[in-house]
Amino acid sequence: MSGTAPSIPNLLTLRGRIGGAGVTRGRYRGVIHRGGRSHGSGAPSASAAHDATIQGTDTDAAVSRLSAVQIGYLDDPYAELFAQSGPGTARRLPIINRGTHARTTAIDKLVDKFLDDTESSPEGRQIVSLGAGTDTRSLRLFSPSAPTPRKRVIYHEIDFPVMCEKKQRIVRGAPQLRSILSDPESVEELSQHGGGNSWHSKAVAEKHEGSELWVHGLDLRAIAASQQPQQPLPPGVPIGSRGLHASPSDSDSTTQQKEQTEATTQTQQKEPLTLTSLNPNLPTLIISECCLCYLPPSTASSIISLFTTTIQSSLGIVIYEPIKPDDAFGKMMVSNLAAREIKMPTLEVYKEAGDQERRLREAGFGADEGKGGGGGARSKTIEQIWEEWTSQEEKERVDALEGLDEVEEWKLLAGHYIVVWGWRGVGVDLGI
Amino acid sequence: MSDLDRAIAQLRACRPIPESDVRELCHKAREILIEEGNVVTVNAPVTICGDIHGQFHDLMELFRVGGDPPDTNYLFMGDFVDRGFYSLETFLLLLCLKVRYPDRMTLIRGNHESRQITTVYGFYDECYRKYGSANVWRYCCDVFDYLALGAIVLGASNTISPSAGESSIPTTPEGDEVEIEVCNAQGEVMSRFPRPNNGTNSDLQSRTNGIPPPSNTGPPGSGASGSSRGTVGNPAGAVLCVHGGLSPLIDKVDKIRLLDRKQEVPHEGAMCDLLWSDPDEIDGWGLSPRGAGFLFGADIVKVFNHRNDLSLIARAHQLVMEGFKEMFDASIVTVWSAPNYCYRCGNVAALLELSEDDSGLGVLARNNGDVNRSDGGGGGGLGESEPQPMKGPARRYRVFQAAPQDSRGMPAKKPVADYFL
Repeated sequence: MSGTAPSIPNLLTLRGRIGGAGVTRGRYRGVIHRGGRSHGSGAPSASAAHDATIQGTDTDAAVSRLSAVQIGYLDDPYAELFAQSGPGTARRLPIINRGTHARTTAIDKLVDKFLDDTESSPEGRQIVSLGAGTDTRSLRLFSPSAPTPRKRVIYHEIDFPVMCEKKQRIVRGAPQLRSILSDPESVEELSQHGGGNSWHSKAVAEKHEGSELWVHGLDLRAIAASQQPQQPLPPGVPIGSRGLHASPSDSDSTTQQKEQTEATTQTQQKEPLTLTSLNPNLPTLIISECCLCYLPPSTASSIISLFTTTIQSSLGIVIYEPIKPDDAFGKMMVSNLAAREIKMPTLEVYKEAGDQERRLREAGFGADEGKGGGGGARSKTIEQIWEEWTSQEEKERVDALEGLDEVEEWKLLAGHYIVVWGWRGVGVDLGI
Repeated sequence: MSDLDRAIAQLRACRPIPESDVRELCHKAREILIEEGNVVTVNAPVTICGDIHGQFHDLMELFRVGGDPPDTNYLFMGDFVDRGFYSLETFLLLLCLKVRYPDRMTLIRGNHESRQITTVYGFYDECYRKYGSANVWRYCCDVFDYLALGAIVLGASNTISPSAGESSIPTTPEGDEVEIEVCNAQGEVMSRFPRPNNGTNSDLQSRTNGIPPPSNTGPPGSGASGSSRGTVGNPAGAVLCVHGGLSPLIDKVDKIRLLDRKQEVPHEGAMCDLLWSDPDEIDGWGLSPRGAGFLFGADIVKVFNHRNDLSLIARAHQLVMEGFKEMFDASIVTVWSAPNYCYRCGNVAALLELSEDDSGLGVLARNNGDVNRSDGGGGGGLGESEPQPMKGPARRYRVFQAAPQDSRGMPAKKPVADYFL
C-alpha cells in the first residue's frame, strides 16, 4: 500500500441497485397464518393429528410458492389457486423466497433432463411425485404456454386422500385450468389399502398429446405395509395389464394399522397395492420434495424399493429434504420443527450429503458407478445449487427483486437442504 | 416517577407505549441526537453490542449479563429492529434509555434502521399490527435519520480489568498480561489469551487452536507496550465502532464527520458503505454479495487503522455463530448480540467490554464528535507506508445464549421460524 489514500475502485458502476422493487408491495397485510391444521380437526388420535400437521406442511409450501411467485422469483400462474391465503397476502422473507426459487428450478432442471432423455420412448414415460400435495409442477408442465412440448408423459401424484380431494376440488373449480387439464374424473382404486379420492385428467394441449395426470389418494405408509417387511420384492412381481402391483402382502390395512405401519405383522390376505395406470415398463422418475423425510427410515426405504423392484425400465429419483441435524443450526431446526410437531425421522439417518448419496447407491442407483456400471447418484445443497446452477443473469434478476441482507443466514439455511438424485438403466443420464 | 421512567418500566415489561407517547419520545430523541456528530466520542469503560433485531427478551438477557443501564455504559452498533417479534419494544426501550441517560447510552445506525429495509424485514408490519397504522413506524424512521453513523471509543485500557470478585489484574496461568478474556453468562472466565509479543497479534482463532503465542510484551518504548505512541488519553489506541465497515470513499474518520447523515440510508456512497460493508479474506476491495456496500480485506483495515490512530474497529452486521470474531490480527472484530438469531440459527451472542484506562490519561469529557483525532497521532514518527498494528485495548467478551423460551411470553406452539417444508 502506498501512502496515499487507497485507490478508489470503480466498483460502484458494476453494482446493481438494491431493492427498488419490493418496497411498495404488501404493506397493508395482516399476520400470515401458517400451516392450516384443519385437516385433523375431529381426529382423536395423536397420530391423526400428526398426519394433519404433515398435511399442513403442504399449506406452508404452497404459501412459500405463492410468495416467490408474487414477488417475481418464479413464474407460476397456478400457485395462487392452491394457497389458502388470497392474492397479496403471502409474503416470505427473501431467503425463503430464494430457497423456494432454488429448489423449484433445481427439480425442474432434473425433471426436464429426464423428459428430454426419454423423449423418444415409444410408449411414453412417467413421473411419480410422492406427497405432491398442491404442487403445481404437473400444471406447469402441461400448460399450453410451457416452453417444451411434453408428449406421452404420465404424471402420477400420490398423497393422502384428503389432499387429493382438495386438489381435485380446486382443479375442477378453476375454469382457467380447462386449457391444461380435462375435467377431473374420479378413479376407484386403493380402497383395500385405506386409500381413496383418486382422480385423473388428460392434458388438453395438442403439444402435450398423450400426457395425463393421475392423482392417487394413498397414505404412503400403506406401500410399506403392503410389502414383506425386510424382504425386497422378487423380480417379476405380479403386474396387471394397466397397473403395477406391489408384492402380494399378508398384512391388513385398517385405519388402526396405518398408524402403526412399522409394527404390522398381521397375516391376512389382501389385494396387491395397485396404482392405476402406473406402467412398470416405462422409464420412470420418482420425486420426493420434502415427503419421505416425514416417514420412518424403513418405511421410506420400502417406498423406494417398491419402485426399484417393480420398474423394469430405466429409473430416476430426485429427493429434496433437510440435512445436517447435528450442528447448532441443525439442532435448532429439529427443535423448532418439533415444537410444530413436525418430525423428520430420516434426518437422523441421512445426516450428510454422503449419507444421502449412499442411500441411493444402496437402493441401486449407480451402485457400480465408476466400475463400468451405469447410473449414478449425485447431490447438491441448495446453496450449491444457487451458486452453481443459477446463471449469473438469473442471480442478478432475482437479487434485484428484494435486497437480500441475510447472507450468513442464507448460507446456514441453504446449506441444510439438499437435492440428491440418482438414475439407472438405459437412456437416462442425470449426471449433471 | 417521571413519564419517561414510567415508559421505561412499561417497555421493560415488553408492553408498547401509547402512540402519543411514542411521538413525544421520538421528538425528544431527535433533539438529543441532532446535537451528536456523525461520529460520537465515547469514553471507556463501555460495553459494545452488535445486532439486536427485535429480540427483546434476549436484550433483557444482555442487560442481565452486561449490567443494567445506566450502571453500565452501553454502545449499540445498530440493527435494533426487524426480524424478531419485538422490534417496537426493543427500539423504543433503547430510545427511552437514550433520552433518559444520554451520556450512558450510545446508539448508532445500522442498515436496518431504514425505511426501505424495515418494510421488507418486519418492523413496518409489526408497527402496523400493534397500532393499526403506520404512524409509529414513521416516527421511528424519522429518528433513524438522526442516529450517528459511528463512534470513537477513547481511554480504553490495554490491561483487562478484574472481573467482579477478583482483586488483581488477571493473568494467564503462565503469568502473561491478558489481552482477551472470554466469560460466560454467569461471569465465569472460559478462556484467557495473553498479549503476544511485538504487538503483532495472531488472531484469536489460531490461538484458540492451541498454537502457543509469544509469551512476553516488549520493553517500554519498543512499540509493544502501547505507551510509545497514540493520542494522549488513548494508551490503547482509539476504537472505531460502526455497523458495517469501511468505505472506499472514506480514508479518514474525519471524512465521516463531513457526511450529511440526516436522510434515508442511500443505495450507495460512503454512508451506505459504512452501514453495509463486510470484512473478508480478500486483498483490497470487492463486491458485496449483499448488493450494497463492499467487501474489504486486511490490508484496507490495517492502513485505515494506522492512518487514523485506531487500534481496533468494532463492527456488527454479520451473524457469527460464536458471538464474536476477531479478524486480521485483531485489527477488526465483529460483535453479534442476537442469540439464536431469528429464533432459528442456533448461535450464541456476545458483548464486548472495554475497561477504563487507570493511568489517569483516559478521562475526557464527552464531546459529541468534534475531538480532532487526526491531530493526536502524528507524533509517533511512523511513516504511513509501514503500518504497524497498535497495541489494542484489552477485550473482555461475555458470551450468552437466548433467553429461556418460557420468558418470552409466546404460545409454545407458535411457529417460530420458517423452514422449507
